[in-house]
Amino acid sequence: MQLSINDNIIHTELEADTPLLWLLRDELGLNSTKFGCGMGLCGACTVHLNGQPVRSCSLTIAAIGNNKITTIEGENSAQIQCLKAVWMQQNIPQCGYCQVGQLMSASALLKQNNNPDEATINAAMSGNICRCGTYVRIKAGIIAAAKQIRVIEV
Amino acid sequence: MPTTCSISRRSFVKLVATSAGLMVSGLSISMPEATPEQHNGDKLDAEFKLFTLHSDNSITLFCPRSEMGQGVMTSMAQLLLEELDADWSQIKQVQHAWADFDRFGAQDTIGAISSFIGWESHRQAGAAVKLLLRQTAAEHWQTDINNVSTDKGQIKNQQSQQTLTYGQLTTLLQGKDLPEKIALKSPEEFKLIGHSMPRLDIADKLSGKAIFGIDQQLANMKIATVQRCPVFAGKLVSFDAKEALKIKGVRDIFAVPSGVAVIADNYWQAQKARKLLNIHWDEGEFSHQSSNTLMQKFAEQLNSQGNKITDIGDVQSRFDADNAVHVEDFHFPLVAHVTMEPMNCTVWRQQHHCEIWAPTQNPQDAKRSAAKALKLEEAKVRVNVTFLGGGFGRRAQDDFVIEACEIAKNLDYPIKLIWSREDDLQHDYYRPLNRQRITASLKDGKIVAWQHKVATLSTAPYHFSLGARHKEDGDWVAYGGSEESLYQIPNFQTQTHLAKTPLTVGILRGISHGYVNFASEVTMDELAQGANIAPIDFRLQHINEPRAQIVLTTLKDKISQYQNGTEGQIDSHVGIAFGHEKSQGDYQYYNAAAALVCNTPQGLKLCKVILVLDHGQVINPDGLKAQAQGSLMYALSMMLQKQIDLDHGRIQQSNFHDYPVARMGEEVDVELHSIGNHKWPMGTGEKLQGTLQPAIANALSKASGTRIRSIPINLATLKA
Repeated sequence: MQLSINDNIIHTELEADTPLLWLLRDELGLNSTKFGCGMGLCGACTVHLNGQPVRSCSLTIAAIGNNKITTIEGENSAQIQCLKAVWMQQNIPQCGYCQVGQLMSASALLKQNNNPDEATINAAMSGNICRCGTYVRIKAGIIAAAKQIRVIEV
Repeated sequence: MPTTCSISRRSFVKLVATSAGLMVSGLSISMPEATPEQHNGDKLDAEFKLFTLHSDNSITLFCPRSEMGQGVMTSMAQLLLEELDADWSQIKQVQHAWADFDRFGAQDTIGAISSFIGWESHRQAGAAVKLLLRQTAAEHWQTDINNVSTDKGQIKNQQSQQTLTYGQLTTLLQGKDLPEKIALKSPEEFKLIGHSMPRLDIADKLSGKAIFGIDQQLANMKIATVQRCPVFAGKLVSFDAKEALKIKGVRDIFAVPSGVAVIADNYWQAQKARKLLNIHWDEGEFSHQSSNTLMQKFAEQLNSQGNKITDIGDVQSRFDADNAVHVEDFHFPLVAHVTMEPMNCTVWRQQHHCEIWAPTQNPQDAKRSAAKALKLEEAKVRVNVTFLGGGFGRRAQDDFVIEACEIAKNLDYPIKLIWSREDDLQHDYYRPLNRQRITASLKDGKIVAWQHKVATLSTAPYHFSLGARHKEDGDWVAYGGSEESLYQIPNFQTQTHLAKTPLTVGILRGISHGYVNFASEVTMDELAQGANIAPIDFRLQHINEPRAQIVLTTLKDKISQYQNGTEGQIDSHVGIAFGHEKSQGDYQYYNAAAALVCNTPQGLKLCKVILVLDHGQVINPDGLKAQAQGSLMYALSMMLQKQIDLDHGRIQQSNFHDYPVARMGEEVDVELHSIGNHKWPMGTGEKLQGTLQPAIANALSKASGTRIRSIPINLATLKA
């Protein structure tokens, strides 16, 4: 099977029903994408499929086809860079385990909407659980990053 | 293979102190006599117990406590660098210390202990090396030590105005004795302590360089999963590996003490195979038990005399003389930790030694248990600590490390054991199921007698500390907080009923304080109402500890603008609670919370929490705020979502769909007020559940008129 991951063509012999997450982690060593639930409920494994956030634990490699997969290792958009800078400045992560998934959901959101209101943020981010409870800071961080992006885009 | 804990293999002047004192055992290396100025190119590092001072003046820190989100790498660095007089920019990296009591002292990361111990150990470590550097520089400059000052990693000769970096002196430190018991800075001199230094672990957590346990990779490593009996203490009778072995990538299948292990090239293959094992379990007696049957037993036990833990005065005669207030029983369900990173452990068993990588809060006990499981001397086992994707007490247990060792000892290649979320929820060390009854007597607005009876699952068989396991004090984490009170009550009694069952229970963020202080503080509100005294005033008139009085009067001031009903700024109801621990010595903290519950068109909603803390000297104010914010979300998950149920001896919940936790959109912020003092510091992340939760419960009671006796609370059924 052949897949496009981070703009590289990947050949894999794994079974077709293998979730993308385990190709990424156990075969390609792309460890930033995390395992949290295996049922698409927690968002720790969020990657982009043609720019849309998807849960890689519940997406089989057979279902990917010609669509382009981007993990945080290959995500270099202005959105992710602004988000990462804010995440640093505002000390957002605690344990940090969920934060790559949070960033991938947030960057997909900001690509769609560079000025999201609170309800939009809630809708885009409620699929990503953080057990350390950093939600107040994540929300403030997304608003701050959106502001920076609007400045860049002007 | 690089490891998270590999140390510099370059030649260095090793200054490793012994455990007894701080004597230097210098490792001599042959080199020509040199002056410090010539050392820049020599790459000679000085290694101390807690850090390495590199010749380029950068510093590598070894963090003896486990970083699980609480910011311990940063706070410990602040303590050490403060007394070292080093500059924050000198920090090159922070590595988790490997399990080694002789070098690092106790390493268990529980009970808010890191700040408490680090306040002495890390400051002394920094101060000792600073003094040694000054002594060495004074010798080199042939001047009096009083002429030698330090600042930001530089040493200055005040007479000649010459300067050297700390790094330029590393070679001259060779063979010198570290001084002991150094006088430490006074708080006015702090440059790092009390400041919101940026967290040292965030950059790696965003770049993907941070290695959590589940990220550990080794050459030829395979992935292991274990199918365990769903019923606690059930036994394996038989299994058939034939079909499972047909799954591509499956390497091996065999029985281990905890169940049946499946080894495969990747996690998905192992997961698929474990469903095909045709296992026959002997589920045993416990398969007849449920949360309900256990709770019923507790209800019966509370009617009888328990084990008297505390018995001051004569509660019974006061109850007979005055009108005793019998409060309806409190009952609390099992609670699961649900760390974001499921349990995992990597083990490489080689012929004569073993190396382990574990996201553990308790590396030294993990090492002891691993050595036992592997039948190796402890000295032949190395336990490396990775980053932890959450801990909350779960990772203080050694079970997942032992399980990985039991698998690895059968194999000649390294394995990484990974638990599924279902494994994690159904084989946790839960916060114990418990039922409590408080009886009290009021006279002239004062509590004259208080009896607290706690019926709970016994934690002793499973205590995270090997030293307390199966011992009587292993049960303290199941009832601790009920046996004493800061409230001045002349007749005071605590009784316990402890049930030993196969259901694994343990410590969860705040241990028993989370439920015994809940019951006590809800009862205090009820008694205040009975005495017709405002809740804060009622508590204040029973307290004579000045630190607690300041906390409560500060809270009173901060909530004065919020009135009940519609008269205040917002349509809100205020509930408060107080929490503390006061052990022997300096292990003490005082905190109080006010919860504001608002009437909204959608029903009652928690809209704000005000928290006043005296946990001693604050090391990192922004880190403290983060812990308060996170603790509130943890409390809300526990209070407003679902519970863990035991039925037929097995846990009924399996993943986030039936054991949901708080999500974005449910967040509530904390207004934090810290009492600015310089008392001995205590951590905070663990210490707020027993205060936040009853404050929220008391606010909901005010808003609805219904007393809260249990969690989780269904807000929809509470009418405003």
